Amino acid sequence: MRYKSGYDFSYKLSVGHVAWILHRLSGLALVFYLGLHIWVISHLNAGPESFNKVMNFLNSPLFKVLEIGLWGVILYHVLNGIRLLLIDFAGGARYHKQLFWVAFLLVLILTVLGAIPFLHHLHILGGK
Amino acid sequence: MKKTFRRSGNSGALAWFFHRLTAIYLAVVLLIHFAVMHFIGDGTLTYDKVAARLVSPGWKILDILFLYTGLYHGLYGLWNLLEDYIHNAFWRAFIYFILAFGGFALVTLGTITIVNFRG
Amino acid sequence: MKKTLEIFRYNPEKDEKPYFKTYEVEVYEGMTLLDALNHIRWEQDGTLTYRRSCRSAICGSCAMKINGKTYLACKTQMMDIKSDHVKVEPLPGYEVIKDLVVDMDNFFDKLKRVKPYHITHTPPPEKERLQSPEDFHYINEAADCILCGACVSACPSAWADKEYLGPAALLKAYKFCADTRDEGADERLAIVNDRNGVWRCHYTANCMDACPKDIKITDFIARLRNMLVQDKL
Repeated sequence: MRYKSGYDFSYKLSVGHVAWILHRLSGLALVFYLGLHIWVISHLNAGPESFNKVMNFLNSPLFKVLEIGLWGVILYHVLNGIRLLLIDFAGGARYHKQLFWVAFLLVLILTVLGAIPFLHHLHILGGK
Repeated sequence: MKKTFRRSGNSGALAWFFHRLTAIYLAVVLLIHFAVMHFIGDGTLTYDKVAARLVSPGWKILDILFLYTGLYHGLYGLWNLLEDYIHNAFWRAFIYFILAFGGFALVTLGTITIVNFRG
Repeated sequence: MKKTLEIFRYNPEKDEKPYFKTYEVEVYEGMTLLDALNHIRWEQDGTLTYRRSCRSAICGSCAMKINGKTYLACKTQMMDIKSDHVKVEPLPGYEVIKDLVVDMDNFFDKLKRVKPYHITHTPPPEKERLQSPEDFHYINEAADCILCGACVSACPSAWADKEYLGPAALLKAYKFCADTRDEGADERLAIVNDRNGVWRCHYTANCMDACPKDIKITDFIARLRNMLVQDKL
């Protein structure tokens, strides 16, 4: 609560407000990741050695774990994005809270499912 | 605090609509991209694997569209966010210039990478 | 049964800073928060200032923040408030004039900008312009707005930028654009088609949460956007 010259900018957090904050944060993360990604991939034209050197870095366990996080962030942005598209074009504003919880549940389930191959690659869940 | 609604002069109906269209394309292609990169195969990323795909014109077109729509969608979103909190006309113009320049640089870099690639 | 009301107090002519003052009120079945405020003003503290008029949820004067969310004081039953402690604050997002009274010039100024009146070019019929019940359904919900200002006060986009038109003005624009008797949709759409207009909404949907008339404002903003895109394509 802030009363600077009589102003107050606060409201009890609502589902839509939280969804928006998360959408902005995930979008912000993704746009910076996109820039970095384009730069990394541009090493392709410098030949196999240069590219594989960068890739070895990205194949490290630390980055595999970070990529699980990336997968979760992408899922949230995509699924909440579908919710926003439904608000745009299908009158979804009338049931936007239910849509959020459906999206949220799907994000949780798909993040866990998507983490399994990553953990296989890390030889945590077995595999070659 | 009167006269607080000042028309900014640019409308943005089509810019907004295009942001939504790119969202649909990105949602589909991003999930395919992620599955191909990480879920199919052993998950290690090497030059040979990327090269095997990128020599085909189909993947080139898909990736170039992916690059352009991704950058458009991302930069539109980022501009939307910054415009909410930065109101000074000079800083707005400055940030718009930075985003446009950064976008142009990334488009060029990405296009060269994809188009020039021969394996 | 007693409930405690913690009320925001601020008199810019006397107080350096706003403060909260606590009052105890004996509540009964059917007592609204407005009744409780009246009780305080008439029996306990005559200096408490707030807006009220119709006490039947139609004038839109008594919107205020109650335990963190906006409601109309006259439509809020004291018994329905779960907590025994009721925190009463003025609407957020506006400048406070005194206690619970906020300066709504900004709100009405923006409302005027979307031309909230019928614009017609065709000559008027002999009697009034009629509307069929079917056509009224297009604007039925949007016409419920009582201009209490709660939606704008809860909107994070409006907090961030004072130049954003805000949900109430956009809802009003939709109401007139969708009204079959109105012929000024083009000029009105040209006004809301602006970065500070309809495109500033980010669907936080706080306006719907705040609206005491339960109008699905976000849905109407989306419909305005679709009108504009169809216009361009």
